[in-house]
Order: sequence, then structure tokens, then C-alpha cells
Amino acid sequence: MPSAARRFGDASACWFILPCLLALAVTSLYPVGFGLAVSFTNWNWGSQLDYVGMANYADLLADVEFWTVMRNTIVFASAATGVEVALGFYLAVQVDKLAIRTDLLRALIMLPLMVSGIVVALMSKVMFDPFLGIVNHLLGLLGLGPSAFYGAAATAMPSVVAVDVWWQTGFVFIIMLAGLRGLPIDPIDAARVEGAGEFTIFWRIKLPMLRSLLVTVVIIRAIDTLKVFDIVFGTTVGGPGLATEVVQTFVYRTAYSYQQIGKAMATMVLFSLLILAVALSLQMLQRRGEAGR
Amino acid sequence: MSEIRFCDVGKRFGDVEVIRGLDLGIEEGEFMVLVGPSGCAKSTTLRMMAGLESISSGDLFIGGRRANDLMPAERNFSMVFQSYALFPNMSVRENLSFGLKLRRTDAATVAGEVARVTEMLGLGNLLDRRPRQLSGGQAQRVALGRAMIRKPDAFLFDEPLSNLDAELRVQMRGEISEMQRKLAATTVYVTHDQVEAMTMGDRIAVMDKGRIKQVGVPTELYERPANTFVAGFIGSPRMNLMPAADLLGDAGPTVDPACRRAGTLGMRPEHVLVGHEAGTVGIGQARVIRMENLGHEMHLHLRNARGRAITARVGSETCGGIAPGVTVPLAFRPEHLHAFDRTTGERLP
Repeated sequence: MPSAARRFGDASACWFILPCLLALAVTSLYPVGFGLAVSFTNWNWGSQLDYVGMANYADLLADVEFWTVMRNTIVFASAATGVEVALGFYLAVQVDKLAIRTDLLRALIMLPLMVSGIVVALMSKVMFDPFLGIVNHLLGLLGLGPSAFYGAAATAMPSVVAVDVWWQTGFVFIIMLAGLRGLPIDPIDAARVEGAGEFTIFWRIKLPMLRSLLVTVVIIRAIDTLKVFDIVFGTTVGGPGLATEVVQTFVYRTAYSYQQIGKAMATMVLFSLLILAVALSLQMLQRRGEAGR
Repeated sequence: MSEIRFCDVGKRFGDVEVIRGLDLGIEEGEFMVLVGPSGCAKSTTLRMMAGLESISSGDLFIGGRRANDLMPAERNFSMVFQSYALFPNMSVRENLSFGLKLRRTDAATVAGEVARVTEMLGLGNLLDRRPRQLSGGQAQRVALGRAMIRKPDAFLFDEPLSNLDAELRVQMRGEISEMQRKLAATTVYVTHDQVEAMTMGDRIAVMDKGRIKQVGVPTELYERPANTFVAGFIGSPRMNLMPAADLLGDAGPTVDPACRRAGTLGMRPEHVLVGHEAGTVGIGQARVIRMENLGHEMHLHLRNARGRAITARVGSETCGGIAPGVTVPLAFRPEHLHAFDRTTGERLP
């Protein structure tokens, strides 16, 4: 009798979740399926639509430009994520130590998050302008030579990374500060009574308790920076040359400038596999940490 | 081992003064219990001893040395928390050896001490487990072990048994008392449970609203409470406290004039006698409202002619014929009366 009830219950559950599954299929699976299908064609946004098999993928994998773009994306994501997480976490630790009200400080650090990516890009473009920008003016006051910033291959990528760091560090800061403030106080007090100093308490007590949250923040920032578009598009449009071209701007150019929708879709499929791999490996790291605890 | 002494200590959190004029001495090797209701600042007092809270005014001396500004690590105390406060990312073994390793104790000594404490507390098969894999009792034992392992000058306990079930609490109560007796260590134990206070402490300090109401050995607190607060707080069921006229009723003229003049009289439930005997004084009839049968004894909740609630504790075998709704005569022996001042609530001699 209980098993019959359970079977009945299972069937009911299926009917209840069916509408959600259908909605999910239409909104998520259809675009994914459509994109995948188009990646096997030479569609040009017009009447040309022939099945080309794996040709788009083969072309891409043999294309030096594609690998440059992939490398740029990974370099940007690694640098931006690394600096944002390190800086945001450091700021959170320092603000957490302050014995005064930190509302204003927190608001200031979070302020850049309120600004849209394109506005951030435009503001930075003005500030980093080699002739009119305030940054070169300030560097001049310090006796340092002017920099081309976005205009030179060597400095373009660090400049884009710097702008993303300015924009998104507040996100890491606020999440990690919430994590620090939410830590149970008793183990920290116990460590203090046992004789631990502030560094030991941070390294051996607080950090292990925050590990899960930290990995989550790294996953979020890694995926977000891998998908970067607005900052690059608004500042360098991928230039000079291919110095800052990332996957999203490459796909945009391929699809809208060259009308190679099939190739653009193939790029997105390969890129999605990269993001999936990054997310899975970070998640595995997180699970291993949790199992260790 | 350390003597701990508070001299006119005050503690403020912003504009709120939580402790005022605290004077308390804890002798070397003594088991002192701080007891009081929630919010009476007993845990704050303990945390000031540990160095986890600053002292706003007055002085704290540890082993004769002014300790107001000493860091927790410099006091060489161990503390056991209500939440156990084990380090969640470390195994039991790592939790136990944490303090020793911080002091750069050599590996052989650490292993030896871990083995000693493990054997003493029966933690042998738990050494590689993480705190989340332990039951409440096991976690509390590990917390005890962590406190014991480095032979501190004093043990501080902050309501360590509050999260345990009743049976385990009784068992752990015995183990802590036994440990304290063996180590002869200065121990300060915070609890809101007066049974723990009475059964464990050499002396008890009863606190209320940031002030110490009485310090004394358990029998002194029970038999000669210094004020109505202590009289009501120590003892279960609590002492019957009420205006003299309401308790004595028509028996007023037969008792000591000092008692009659007292604002408040108190009588322990076990001293409320059901029925008259030689040498007792009758205090009129009372109606039985409710009866609580504890097996070996019965708690009678009564209401006297003046509408006052009175609790009597009697042996179960003496309750024949008593039932809710029945009216019974009450009496007492004059030497069992406690008299308190009407306005200050302080004990009258």
C-alpha cells in the first residue's frame, strides 16, 4: 500500500512539474538547440542556409585568430578574477576589523557596481585618453611619462583588466564581508583564548570556514569575466589589432560584421564548453574542500 | 593556578551600563559558580576574565597582577563555550592539540598529552572525526579535552551543558566536577541553572542586572539568602515570598514580632506543612489548585484565604485524601521563616 501511494505521489509530482519543464524547454533548451543546429550551417542571416557538418568547427580550430581570442579571454578572466577576489577579500577583511560604523565605506566600495558596463567603459575611455585624460595628467605630475593605455598593444589588456577590477571588486567585497560578519564568533574566541594571534585566527579558523563561499565567489567572477563584452566593446572594441579581442567581441564581429552566423554559433558552442569545464572544475574543488571538512 | 579578583569593575556597551561596581574574589583552586537569570551579565563577567571583553572601569587582578590589558593568550586560561566552539575544519585530534602546537610544543609531547586527555575523557575512537560528526555529548567532551590539555591556570565555563539533554547534563556535571577535583584548578562556571550551581560550586555568586546579590557556599545561599532575589532564585520550587500579613493570616500574633514587622516573609516549599503538629504554627486553610507528582514527592500548588499562591513540597506517601479542590490546613515551624525588609528586600537578622 505505501509503495502504491508512493507511485501515485511520483506521478502527481510529474504532472505538477510538467509546466515548469515545458517553460524551461522553450526558454532555455530551444535557444541552445537552435544555436547548436545553426553551428553546423553556413547561415548568413539571409537565404543562405546549408548544412556544412563540422566545417565551422574545423575552420575555427585551425584559425590562429580564434586561438588568440581564446587566449585573450582566458588572460582577461584570470587576471580580473584573481585581482578582484584578492583585493575584494582583502578590503572585506580590513573593513571587518574596523570598530567604527562602516556603512559609508561599504557604500563607497560598492558604488561602481551600480554603474552599467558601457558607462564604466566610456568613463574610463575619457579618463585614460592619452591627451585629455586625467590619469595621464596625474602620471605627469608624478614625473611618469604618458601612456597610450587603450591605444597600445602592451597596455590595452592591463587597462581593460584595471577597469573591470574597479567596476567589480565591490561585488567580491560585499559577499566576503557578509561571510566574515556571519562567521560564528565562538570558535574565533576559543582560538583567541587558546593563544592564537590575528594572523593564525584568519589563516586557520576564518579562511577554512569561508572556503566554500570563496570558491563560489571565484566561480561567479570567473564565469562573469569569461563572458566579458561591454567593457571591451566600450573601450577598445577588441583592438589595437587583436590585443584585447575576447570571445564575445569576436562572435559579435563574426555575426554582425561578416554575417557568418554559423561560425559565430560554433564559437559560442566551443566557448560554452570552456565555461562548463571551468565551472565543473571549480565545483569539484569546492566539493573536495567540503568532503575534507 | 591563579587567584582572580575583580575590584569595583564596570562594563559599558556604548551608553548601556551592564555591570557596575563588581567586587568578587575567586581563590586559587576554588570552583566558583556565577549564576543568575538570562541577561544578568554573568557571561560578560566571564568574558572579561578571559580577555574577550574589555573592562570599562575598575581593575581585574589575576594571580596578583593587574590584568585589564592582558591579551587572552597572556592569561593562560582555558574556556569551554556553550556552543562547544570546536574548530569545524579540524579533526578532534587537531582541535585537542591546537593550543599546544601554538606554543610550539614538540610533537612527542603533543602526542602524549593528546593520548592522556583522550584516555581520560574516552575520546579514543573519535580522534580522526570532524566536529560535525560528533554528538552533543562527544563534542562537549572534546571541548573539555581542549581546555584540559595544556594545563591552564584557570578554567572558564560558559554554560557548557545548556545544549545537552537532561541525562547527559547530569553525567557531564559529574565529569566536570570530578575533573576539577582531580586537577584542583581554579574554575569559574557560568550557568543559569541553579541545580548546576548548587551541585557543582564550592561557592556561588548570584548575579542580577549586572550586580552580585550574594556570594556564599551553597548551603548558606539556600538556608540564609541575603535578599528576596536570592531567596526566590535559589531553590526549586522557589521560595514562597509574600507580605507578612498575607502569609501569616490569623497566626500573626503567635510569631516573633520581628517577623510580623518585616515587609516580606519567605518560606521554602518543604517547610510548608500540611496539617498541624506539635511545635508548629497554623496559618489557616488553603485550597489545592494543582498537584505535581514527582514520584518520591508531591508539589502542591495552593491558594490561601487571602488569595496568595503557596507551594508546598510533601512526601508522596503523606498525600492521602489530598486532591485538587480540597481545602487543607497549613502550618510551619517558626525557625523556618525568612524575613526581608519591605523596601530594600534585604534579609533581616
